Amino acid sequence: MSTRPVKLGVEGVRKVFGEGPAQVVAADDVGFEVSDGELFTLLGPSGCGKTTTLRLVAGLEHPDAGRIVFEGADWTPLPPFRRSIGMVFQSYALFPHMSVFENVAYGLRVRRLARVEVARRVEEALELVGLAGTRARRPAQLSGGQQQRVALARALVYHPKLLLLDEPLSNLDAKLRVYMRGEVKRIQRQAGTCAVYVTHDQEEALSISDRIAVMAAGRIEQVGTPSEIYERPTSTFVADFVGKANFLECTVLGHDGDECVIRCGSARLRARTAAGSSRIPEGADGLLFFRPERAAIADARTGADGLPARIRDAEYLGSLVRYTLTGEGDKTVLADVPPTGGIRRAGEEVLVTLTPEQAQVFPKGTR
Amino acid sequence: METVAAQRARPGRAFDPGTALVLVMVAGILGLLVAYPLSRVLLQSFIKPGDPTSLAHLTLANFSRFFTSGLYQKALVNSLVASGMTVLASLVLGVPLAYVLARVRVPFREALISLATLPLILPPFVGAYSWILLLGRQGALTSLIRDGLGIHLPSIIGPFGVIVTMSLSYYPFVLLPLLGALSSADPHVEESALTLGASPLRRILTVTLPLVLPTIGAGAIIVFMRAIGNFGVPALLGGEFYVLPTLIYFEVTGSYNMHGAGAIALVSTLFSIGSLLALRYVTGRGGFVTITSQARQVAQASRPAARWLGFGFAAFVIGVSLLPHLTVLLASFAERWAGTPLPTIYSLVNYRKAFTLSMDAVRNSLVLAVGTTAICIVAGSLMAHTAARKRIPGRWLMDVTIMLPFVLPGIMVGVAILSAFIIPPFELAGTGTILLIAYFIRRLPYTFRSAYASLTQTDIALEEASLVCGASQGATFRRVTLPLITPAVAAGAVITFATLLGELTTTLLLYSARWKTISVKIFEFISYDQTGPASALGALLVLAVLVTVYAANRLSGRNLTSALG
Repeated sequence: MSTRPVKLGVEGVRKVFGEGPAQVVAADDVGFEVSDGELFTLLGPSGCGKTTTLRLVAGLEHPDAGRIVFEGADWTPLPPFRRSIGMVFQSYALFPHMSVFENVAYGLRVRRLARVEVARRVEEALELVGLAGTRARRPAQLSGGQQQRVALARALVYHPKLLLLDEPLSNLDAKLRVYMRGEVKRIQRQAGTCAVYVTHDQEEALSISDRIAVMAAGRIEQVGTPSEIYERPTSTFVADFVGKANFLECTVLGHDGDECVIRCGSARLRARTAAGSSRIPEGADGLLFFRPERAAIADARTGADGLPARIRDAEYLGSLVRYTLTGEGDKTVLADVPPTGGIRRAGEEVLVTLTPEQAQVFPKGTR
Repeated sequence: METVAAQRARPGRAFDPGTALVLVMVAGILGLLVAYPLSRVLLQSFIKPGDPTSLAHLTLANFSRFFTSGLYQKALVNSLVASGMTVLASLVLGVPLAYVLARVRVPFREALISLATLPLILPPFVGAYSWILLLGRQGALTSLIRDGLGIHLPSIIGPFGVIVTMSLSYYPFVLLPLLGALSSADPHVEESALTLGASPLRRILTVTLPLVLPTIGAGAIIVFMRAIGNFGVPALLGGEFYVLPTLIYFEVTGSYNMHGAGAIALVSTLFSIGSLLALRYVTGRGGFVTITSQARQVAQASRPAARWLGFGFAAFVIGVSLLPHLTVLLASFAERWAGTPLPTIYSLVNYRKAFTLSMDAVRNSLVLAVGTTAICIVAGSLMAHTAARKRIPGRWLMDVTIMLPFVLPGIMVGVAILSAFIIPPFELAGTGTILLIAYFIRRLPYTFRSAYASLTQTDIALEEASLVCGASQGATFRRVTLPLITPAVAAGAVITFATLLGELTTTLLLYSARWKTISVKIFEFISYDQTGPASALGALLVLAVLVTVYAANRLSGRNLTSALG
């Protein structure tokens, strides 16, 4: 991404709602950059400030501090209609009193384009989203997925420099959601517009984004590519929010190059210091993190290096077996294992084994 | 989705120049036209007639007459008795009728319901004097009922007539909301009562009615508020039976005692405000929301006997409630009609007389109604947009000020406007402007509330989408907001216009020889026993109201009377 020129810059933006004790800091020193053609996602739980941040970029809210810069120009004082943006709303916000054609034509008509040009561009946009035959219909006569496409066409038809998408798929059913996220990405690529995408769905974020910013409580926790976010989270919050995570308390015994040796209950394991964390001093407490699908299970008798645990429950899910285990100190541990060597039964004593690559240690006391 | 819209219902910065301008306008209009007159009448009611209007001369003298004057005491008791009886009668009419229309598959149900809403828009005083035609000493039905049925009805002049007329005008306030509640109630709740072994009557008493009790209560309170503020009906039918509004009129026109009138108006207003608080309490608890899993209709009795019995009952009640207005229609064509069930000679002489004597009044009513409606459309939508879409300080104050003249008795508003605008710096006595002001502040809530409700139901994201698409604030209001709220504003405007054509209460306090309206003219005709021309004008008024509402309903494809209440 770094080779492409930066388009959007969000610089130290802050937004506070309400006054006095009811005050909520919706965005707190939020900063990120979006490059040309990039699809950048704001991911986080509800109330984390992702939608507020998007609305600040759109100009629908005004920041209390910080700047919104686009192509070097300061957008902060501009109202939404002076910014070159297209936006898809969670509720689609299609104008109910206009036909599909009129909805899509809206942005062109307020820009006073010639009629022929309007008609041509609307057809083009409807073609792009695969809705060529519905121009005369009213939004209420369309299915959810079709409304979604009209909203996209309306946002793209006047070739905005920036596309903003606010939870655009959250009102669709699960199957359509997966299909449409592919479509959104295809359409965005084809239009070549850089985009900011807001979602609370981590799977959607991982699949669609070039880069992701994970937000919590009004702040950005981590910015990175989907695999960086998933594989090398810099905080336990990100580790926990994106994907499934096991956390176990441990003590750091010593360091060996990139790796460190830890004690977790009675087990000694080799692990890595989590991304972004500084070297944890010897003897200090830490938090061991690993993803369930990166763990393996071995017989207790093998005496391998691993966490001793007893199988509490085994769920056969087709592509994998999800084991819920009780580790030392009654800690629950999850392990997703390919069903190839059969399914172990509840009550069996096993060892949960990890490669040093997959075991990451956060310093104690971090979130 | 809805919660997201609600959380973000008020975007935008606290102040932009457009909002500031609208706010200054709103504050100016409401302050000058509502707050100033009302506070003036409030102050005056605490000052003795003749004393200068200043805080140093505050006294309770004007109120002491409620303890010393028999007339005052009687008017107070009469008001309470008449309003209370009207509530009772409205319940007796409205509750069974609502049950029948909701739970029996009555033939012509929709038509019956439409007819049942008519008393709400037809001027009650027109109905009032037709009761004189029907049941007065020379009435069409008087001898029929007395000699034919052997029933001696009390005189129509006095409490009986007042209560009958108000009940027949106001029972739809009980009927219509209750009909809605009973039709949309979850059938499973009642079915479970049946499966638990309750008999149908027991079910009605222990489950059905208690569930809709808050709705009935709210309707009853609205009837009480309307009845205690009604001036036209007791003015025409009261005779010696004085109530608070007629006593106020008596004080103003008889002895020109604005201070005494203010004091009575204030007492009357206390009852209105008390009712309003009671209403907020009843509706604020939200009634009983039953959780419905799916949209299954309530069961309706469909045996032919039940259907036609229900029809008979509904048609009778609704027919009787519209009988007065039909009588006016008949009487307008009657050259001679005294003591017989039907007129003995028909002609158009009444219309000829009415027209030669009241062309000016027709013109005045039209000018005032059209003018006020136009102002209400603009002011109502702008204020509603500001209230619904902008973060502004003191929004509740704006709401309250707009709604106040709607809630207060019309006669109170009339007294307030009169006492504020007949003295310098605003000497407007006898002008059309003073009528326009009174009409405007009393009817503004119709357009304001319809527009406001429509705006709050419209997703704010629609306007944001328009801004993002590149349309300015103004273009967004024009292209998106306005088309979306137009049906609601139009509904409010039609009701405004239709109810202003026959406005009597404030007009009677504020009119002058130059600005007589249709209602004043009818009132005058009746006072001089000219029932013929009065009927002709009344019939025209009723027709004009019906045509307006019917045409607007057809144009918009929905029932505009829903903007009432």
